[in-house]
Amino acid sequence: MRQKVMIGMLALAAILLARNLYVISILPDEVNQGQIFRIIFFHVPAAIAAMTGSAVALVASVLFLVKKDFIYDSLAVAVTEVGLAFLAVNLVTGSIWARVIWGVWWAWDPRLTSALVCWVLYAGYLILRQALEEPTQRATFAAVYSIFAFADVPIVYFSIRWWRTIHPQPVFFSKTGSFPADWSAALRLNLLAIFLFYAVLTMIRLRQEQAQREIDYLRRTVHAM
Amino acid sequence: MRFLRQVMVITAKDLRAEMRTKEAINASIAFAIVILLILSFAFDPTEDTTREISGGLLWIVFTFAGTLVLNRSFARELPNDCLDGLLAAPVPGSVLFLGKALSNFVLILAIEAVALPVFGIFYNVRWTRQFWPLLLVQALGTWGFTAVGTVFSALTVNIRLREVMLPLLVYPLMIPMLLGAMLLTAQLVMGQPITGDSVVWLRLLFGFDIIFTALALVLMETVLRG
Amino acid sequence: MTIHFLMPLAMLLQSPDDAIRDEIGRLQRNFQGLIWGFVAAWVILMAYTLMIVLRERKIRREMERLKNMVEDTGKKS
Repeated sequence: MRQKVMIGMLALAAILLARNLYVISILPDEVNQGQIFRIIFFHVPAAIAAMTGSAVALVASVLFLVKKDFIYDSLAVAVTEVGLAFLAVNLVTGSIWARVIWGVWWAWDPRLTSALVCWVLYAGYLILRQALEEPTQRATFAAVYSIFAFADVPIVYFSIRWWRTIHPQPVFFSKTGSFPADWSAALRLNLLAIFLFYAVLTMIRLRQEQAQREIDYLRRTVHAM
Repeated sequence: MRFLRQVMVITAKDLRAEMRTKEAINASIAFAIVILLILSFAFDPTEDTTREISGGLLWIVFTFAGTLVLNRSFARELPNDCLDGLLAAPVPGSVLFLGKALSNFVLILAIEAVALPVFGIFYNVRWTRQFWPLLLVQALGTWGFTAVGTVFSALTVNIRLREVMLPLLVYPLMIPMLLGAMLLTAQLVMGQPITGDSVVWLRLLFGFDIIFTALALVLMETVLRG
Repeated sequence: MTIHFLMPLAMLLQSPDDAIRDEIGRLQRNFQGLIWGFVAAWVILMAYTLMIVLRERKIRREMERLKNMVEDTGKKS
């Protein structure tokens, strides 16, 4: 049953993405920035998906600490790992966009910089998990770190934004420019498609994490025999 | 207040232990001076422009040297099962956190108290012009660093590669606080007072300290039992 | 979108001015950037999906191996 739900979501995501690619190609141009502006269809939804993922990770971490059920730990790591992939998409597309518009690969733009710090934070989460072998300790400590990381995210965003208003951008171009009205519908649909893709990946990863725990349990049983 | 008295007992124990051997504090101060020396080679100390990055330089020195102190904080309890002894004590995790954090705070402030004059000498900067605001910024920034660092010192005490994991986990969390502290310190060291524009950074430091101290107090018990 | 491609070519045929050449260059870079952006997004997502698929296979193999081991030790005892 779960399998069918996942395949259904994947199919829906694929259809939406295909339709969006067509729509994206026939939409009229954005005046200031030209073609490259279409990258926003992936750049922004990837960031929104990743940030939603980090919120889910927070809830999962707190739930694990309260209920001690490992399903929450598996959810936390699945959502965080997939979130890292989508944040990477955001960073790379943002960098390419910056190269085309501003001529530099990295311009210390407040949002991109905050995304980079978040990426480093959640990469730290995965590295911490790798360093801990005992499952309960790993889940507990990872949950604590996830809570600290999530508390940091808004502070990071605001502090970097204040920092960048002191040092103005290389060229003053707001990222959204003049956002054409008929683009919002396409953007929202693409957001849905990316959310679905994110959810499918998370579910697969979650199942893998559960399977991994079962393997560890079997391994211990076999060695005990 | 029983809570405070328990905290003071732990702080006093840690500080007394440190003062007997002076291991961590000597190593950290030496390390701080070495880093300042190396940074003097990297950035010409006589240049005026170097004064502008003084805040960043100082806080790099403080965080690197402070990490040594933080690492020792719980690592010191490992031999002879002292950590188990601490955990068996009938005090809540928050008391242990506050006690250790306060002792680390005092030690790192001591390192800063040595590093600042040395910095003043190497870079020929009269950093005492805004002394009291500078002291405030140092205290706020150091407390934020210490609060987060103490929790993660407990968390990483039994992990392999502890010395690498502690900075790796703590520094990204510290980025907003370091941003504010570096900017304010640079301003104050150059003699400019904290104006309306910079007050927002002071508020950031306060907010950071409050949020992360609260989180640390709540989660320390989990980390210690986990 | 195709008309944006044809127009600069048409302009080029009319008069090889420096400003127009710059404009063509800008449009080309712009378009290239878009393509690279999409490619990068997809490569990253596909790479991660591949990682997941490989891990799935590894887990499945390990499961099979362990289940066989459990059955074997069950039969022996």
